[in-house]
Amino acid sequence: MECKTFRERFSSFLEEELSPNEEKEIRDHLRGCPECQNELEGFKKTLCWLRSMEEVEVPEGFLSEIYKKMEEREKRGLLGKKFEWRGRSLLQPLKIPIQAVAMVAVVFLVLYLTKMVPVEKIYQRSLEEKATTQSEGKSEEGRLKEHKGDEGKVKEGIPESLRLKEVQPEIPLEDRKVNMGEGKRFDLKEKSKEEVSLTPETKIRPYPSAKKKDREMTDPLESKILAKAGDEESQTPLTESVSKEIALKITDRKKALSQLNEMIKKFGGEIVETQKDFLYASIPLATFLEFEAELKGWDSLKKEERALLSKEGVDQLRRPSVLEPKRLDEKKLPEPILTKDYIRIKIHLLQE
Amino acid sequence: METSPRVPREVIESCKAGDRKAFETMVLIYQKKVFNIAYRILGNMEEAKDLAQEVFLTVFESVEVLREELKFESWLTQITLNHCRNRWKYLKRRRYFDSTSIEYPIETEDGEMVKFFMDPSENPEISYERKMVQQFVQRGLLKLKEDQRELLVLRDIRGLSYEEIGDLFKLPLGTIKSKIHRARMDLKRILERSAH
Repeated sequence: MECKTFRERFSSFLEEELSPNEEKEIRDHLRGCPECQNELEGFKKTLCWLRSMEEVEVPEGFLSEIYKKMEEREKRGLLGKKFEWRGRSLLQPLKIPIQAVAMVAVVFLVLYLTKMVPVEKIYQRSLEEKATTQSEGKSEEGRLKEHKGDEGKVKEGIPESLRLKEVQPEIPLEDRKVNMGEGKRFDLKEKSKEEVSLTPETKIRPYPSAKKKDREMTDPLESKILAKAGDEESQTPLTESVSKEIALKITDRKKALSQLNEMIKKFGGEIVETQKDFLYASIPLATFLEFEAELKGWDSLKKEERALLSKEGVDQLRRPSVLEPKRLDEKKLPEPILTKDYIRIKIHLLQE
Repeated sequence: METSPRVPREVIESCKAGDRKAFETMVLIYQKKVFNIAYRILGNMEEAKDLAQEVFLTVFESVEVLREELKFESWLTQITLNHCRNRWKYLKRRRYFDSTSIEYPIETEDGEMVKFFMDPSENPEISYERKMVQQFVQRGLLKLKEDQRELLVLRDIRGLSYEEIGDLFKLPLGTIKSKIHRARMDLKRILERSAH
């Protein structure tokens, strides 16, 4: 075996990878070959120096410089990956469920907020409607005012013109004086009711007893008045307190009511109530005769009847029993009032 | 010869998830190995540091493709070798090694020379001699062919087995042993020639 062959086995020989026979052959050769011995010595030293090469310490700031390079690469867009929070690695399996929960929460929040707005709007609208209805109610009536009776109640729906006024203490009939408009005064005497015919055909009928009447709601204003005036099943105290009844032939009911309203107002009175075929009004005593006269002017009126009216009609005005005020209803509405200056009349509208 | 402790499998998995702490742990465990491989192959501290940092940046970006966590160390060494080969070609083209050698160690920013391991109880003359020998050997390694240098660094300096080196170089075991012996013989001849 040549030296070259033995020298090629130096690494295996030194690393003890040869079999015992192979080692014996090399030892036997080395004993007889000084050159191979020198080669082997040199090889051993080189190998020893290589394996004695010590580890060099890593320079300081090695890791921080790595992060700096990462930042530089990230700025230049060269880094395709970024660090994540440590907790993300733990939450990775929960990523999708967390996102789903977050989306659901957002949806609920949106629905809640959208629902809140309509509720608020509805509430505001209801408040506004109440305010408008109240104002409309007042405007529709035209002259709705609060009326506080003894109990402090507020009446609604009944125009002031239709409400009875406070009753003055009654004055004995004999002591009552009436101004007839022309400065004349009459001593009133108690008189029974008499029918006063405004036309040859018309007669003032006695006030009917309390009956249940069906009211026809033809006029909205009239219907409101009728609806709020009191109990429909019984006569209103207003009717009971009428001191004068007048029958009037009409052709157009609405027109007649309008004209009567104007006439009553003209003479300082006001309509208290309007029923189907009847109209109740309150006329100042001082102007009643003139009112009646004008009313009679609608139809022909006998002079003697007028005279009778002027003389006796007024006597009836002072009858306490007729003028005794009564409550409109049981709900403590103010008592019908009749001052010494006003007379309550009932006009019977006769449709021709 | 020191050997780096193996990194736990959980650390590798956390690195895949982008966990910064896990990455730092991995760097601390393998930084010395990677740096020294780079230093012994390139022969320059500064170049070795840069290269080692680049290796870890590559690991950070590419760790997700690693399927078997047990082969992480081999994978890391492969990346290091690849970087070294590329860097060596770059420096050789620029004739970097003509003026720079281990005979003139690079100073750090603090002005301190890179300190080799020195036993305080050892005779300073012996320590100096040892230092000189290591520089002498390092210089000899740089005169070897690149693949021979790699083989000697991995086998005789880092202590990798023949099988591991065979996996890295994709060569049969017999070939690896023969190549390593040849590299050793050539280094001996270079060192003998330099000594005279």
